[in-house]
Amino acid sequence: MSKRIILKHILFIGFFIAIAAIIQSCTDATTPPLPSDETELITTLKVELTDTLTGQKLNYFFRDLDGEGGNAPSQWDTIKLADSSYYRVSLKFLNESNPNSIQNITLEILAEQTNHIICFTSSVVNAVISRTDTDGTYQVGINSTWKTGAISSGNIEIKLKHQLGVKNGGCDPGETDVQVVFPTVIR
Amino acid sequence: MLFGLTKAYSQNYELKGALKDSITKEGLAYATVYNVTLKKGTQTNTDGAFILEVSNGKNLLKIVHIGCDTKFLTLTISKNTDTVIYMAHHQHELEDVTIVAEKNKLIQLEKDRLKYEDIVVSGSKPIASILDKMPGVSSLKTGFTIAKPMIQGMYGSRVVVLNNGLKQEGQQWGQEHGLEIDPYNTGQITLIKGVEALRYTSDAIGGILLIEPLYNANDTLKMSLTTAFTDNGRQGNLSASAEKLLTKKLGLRLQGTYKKAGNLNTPDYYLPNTGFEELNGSLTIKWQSSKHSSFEIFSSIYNNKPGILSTSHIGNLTDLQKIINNESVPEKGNFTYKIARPYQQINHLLNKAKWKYEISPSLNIEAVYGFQINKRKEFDSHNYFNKTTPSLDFTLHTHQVDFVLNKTFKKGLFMKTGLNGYYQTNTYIGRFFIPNYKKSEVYQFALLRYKKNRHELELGYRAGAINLDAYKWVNNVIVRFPFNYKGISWQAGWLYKISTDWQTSLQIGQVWRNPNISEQFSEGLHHGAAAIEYGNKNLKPEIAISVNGTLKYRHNKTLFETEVFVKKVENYIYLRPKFPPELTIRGAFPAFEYVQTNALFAGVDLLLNQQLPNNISFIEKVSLLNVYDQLYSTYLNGIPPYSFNHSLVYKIANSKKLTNSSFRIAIQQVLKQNRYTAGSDYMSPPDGYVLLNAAFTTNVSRYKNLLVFLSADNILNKTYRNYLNRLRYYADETGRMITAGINYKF
Repeated sequence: MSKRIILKHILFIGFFIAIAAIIQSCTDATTPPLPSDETELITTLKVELTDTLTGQKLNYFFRDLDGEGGNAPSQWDTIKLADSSYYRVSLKFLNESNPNSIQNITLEILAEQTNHIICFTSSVVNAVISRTDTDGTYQVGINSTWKTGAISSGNIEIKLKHQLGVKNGGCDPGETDVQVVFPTVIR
Repeated sequence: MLFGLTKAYSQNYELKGALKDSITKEGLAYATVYNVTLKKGTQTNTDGAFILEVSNGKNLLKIVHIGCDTKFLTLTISKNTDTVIYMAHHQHELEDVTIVAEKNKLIQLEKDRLKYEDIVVSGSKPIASILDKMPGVSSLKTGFTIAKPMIQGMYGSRVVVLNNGLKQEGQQWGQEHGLEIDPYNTGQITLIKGVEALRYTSDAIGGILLIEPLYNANDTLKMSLTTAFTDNGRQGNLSASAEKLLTKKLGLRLQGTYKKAGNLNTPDYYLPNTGFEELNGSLTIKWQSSKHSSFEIFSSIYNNKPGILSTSHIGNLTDLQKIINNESVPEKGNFTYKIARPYQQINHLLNKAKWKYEISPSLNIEAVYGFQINKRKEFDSHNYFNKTTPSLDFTLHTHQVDFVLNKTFKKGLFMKTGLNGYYQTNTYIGRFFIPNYKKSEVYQFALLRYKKNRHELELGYRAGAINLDAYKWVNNVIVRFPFNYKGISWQAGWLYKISTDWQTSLQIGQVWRNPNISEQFSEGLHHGAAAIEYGNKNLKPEIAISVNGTLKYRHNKTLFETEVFVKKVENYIYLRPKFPPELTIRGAFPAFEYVQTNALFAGVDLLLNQQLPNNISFIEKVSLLNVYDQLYSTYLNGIPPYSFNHSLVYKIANSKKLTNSSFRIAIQQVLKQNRYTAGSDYMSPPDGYVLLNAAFTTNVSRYKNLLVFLSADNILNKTYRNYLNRLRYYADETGRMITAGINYKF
């Protein structure tokens, strides 16, 4: 084989490798994206209660700042309510994984309220919960009223369902985005 | 008609022949010997032997073999005859590395091979689903359009797929990542195990699937058009190719495929969001640059956007339990071609450049450079988190360099030795799944093959070192996690030709596999699967000791092949449930962790092809596998259940209008996986099932190269679930599926 042909081959392979090297240089494996860049996380559920009679405000939290898995939830409150009272309740869903940039996911849920519903289940505890907001056809549940009865203790479960194209007013369809059981005491 | 045929047969004789290479005098396997006079053909066996029907008087024979010029010869016959036919190989053929490897393969079994004719008629399916026509090979599915191959119970990085000689990357991304190869550009698929595998990799505990693209350029422009339509999913496929030798030295092939499908249906309902859209292309250039030097470039691109069954995207364990207990009615879709969230967007670019130089007829060297880019974007169902950006976006870059030396010594000794290097980087944007990493691998290998009389011996080793650096944020700083692995794999094989009809072989070996990145680093919620997975950075490499024996019988009308295998895998890595389920803001999730055990795989694969009278053949395929977890004295999950395929093929006599027609009817029988420990899965394995399938293929004589095919799967529209489908918790398998198509060469 002549030298010219060898040279041709070397040039050809060199050309091939050069193209690959250019593409390669666009990626830097040593700098992974910041964990807080993770956009799809709900870390916190905040329950804001206002006693309609006294105007007293109560806030309760469920917080798991590193998301699913990893460390255990950092805050998981017991909801304490007065008996025979009437509360206006508003829920907040937050992404607090990056303390410098807390995202309010509630706004996103409201923007897509036709695909979401919040379901409340109280067990053993004497509380009657009714949603007070609607997407035009079905209820949503970001806002609700809680009416307490006699002294009791049990649980209240709050569930956010994502029902893309399948919302029918019920709680069965779709996938569960949030499901938190708050121990609840009425005293 | 039938009378005429039997009458013709009564005057005919049998030509027993052997087809040999004119230089090496070795038998030429799998050549087509066609009697033009009688319009009847056959194929040579692994030794080059064939039996052909000939008529009294002059017969024109046409012989076709890869790498040889097509040969015509006229024989005058007056009695049953024995003959030897010699055929010359091209002096300097533009041959492919994989064909070289294939030719030198020690053990060649029919059961481990799929030919173009088998592939083209099933080209509407993903390639891994076509592979399960081979006994011992199954496909592990995520839904209905994503499938990856499983060999004798091994999958993922334990199975290596070679796409035109390059290791197909992307398998380390986990189960829901299919095999990104276009079946319409595939000429042949071969399963290899044992010594030959060490040429390519040391970690293929299950085996290697060799996928060879089509290339057959000659002086005339050849074009091929394939189109097919499947009723279920209303899937349309179109594939076209063109190839030609532009000059005596330079050949070119171009190929492209487009596929589009909408929602599939089970016997009872549509599966929401199961459509996909696929666009692929490839380019092959082969250049005989001088008398002894040849060059090849292969470049292919695969783009797929598959929808993910939307009912499988569940929130938490409660949702899953509800679906399993059938408390919530599964969402029943309608037919649409629209792909909604959740979906994936996959691109795979593969480039290969190869140079082969022949120093002398007995010594040649090869240099290969490969470069691959894999991209996968996952779009979750939550578009309120991110409207246009994917939730997860991976990019994997892989470079590969090979140097191989092939040397043929006198007295039947052959050697192959070489070096092999890889460099890979992984980067991601969005949700954490596996970390960024850089990986370098270096290997050295040598294989020896020795042939004497009825014996063939093989011996090989492959030594390698892997260096991996992973980068991850820990407490607000980027931490580098370095890993180093070293190991040697070896294999030995012995083939003994007991007689012209019988042959047996035995292979033993030990190979190792380093833990892959998802086994080390998975952390957190696996979206859509409702599971939290934990990797383990302290996993040790797997070491597999395997023994397998084969027995093959081929005589006249009978072909029988069986393989018996035992594999002991030390430090076998798998996902084990971790208790209790974890509590999160999304409710409770089952947790799994990667652990190691000692696993024992034992099984039998079998193929029987018996020709019966009246042009009917009976074909039986059997795959049996048992797997034990020796450390915990239990069974491993996700192992293919016993399966059988009973089929009858009727070769319809050639008529004026139709030639090479055949009708196949097959009963596919899969038993229930009973080797299962109660409570170790969300749902116990589904019941076994029996499916009825049929296919008809024919060549229309009027258009010389028009192949027409018609197939029907699950004809009885049976409702069933497949244990090897990860979405079996959520939905039934697809119902009846009828495909009609044509392949026209011009």
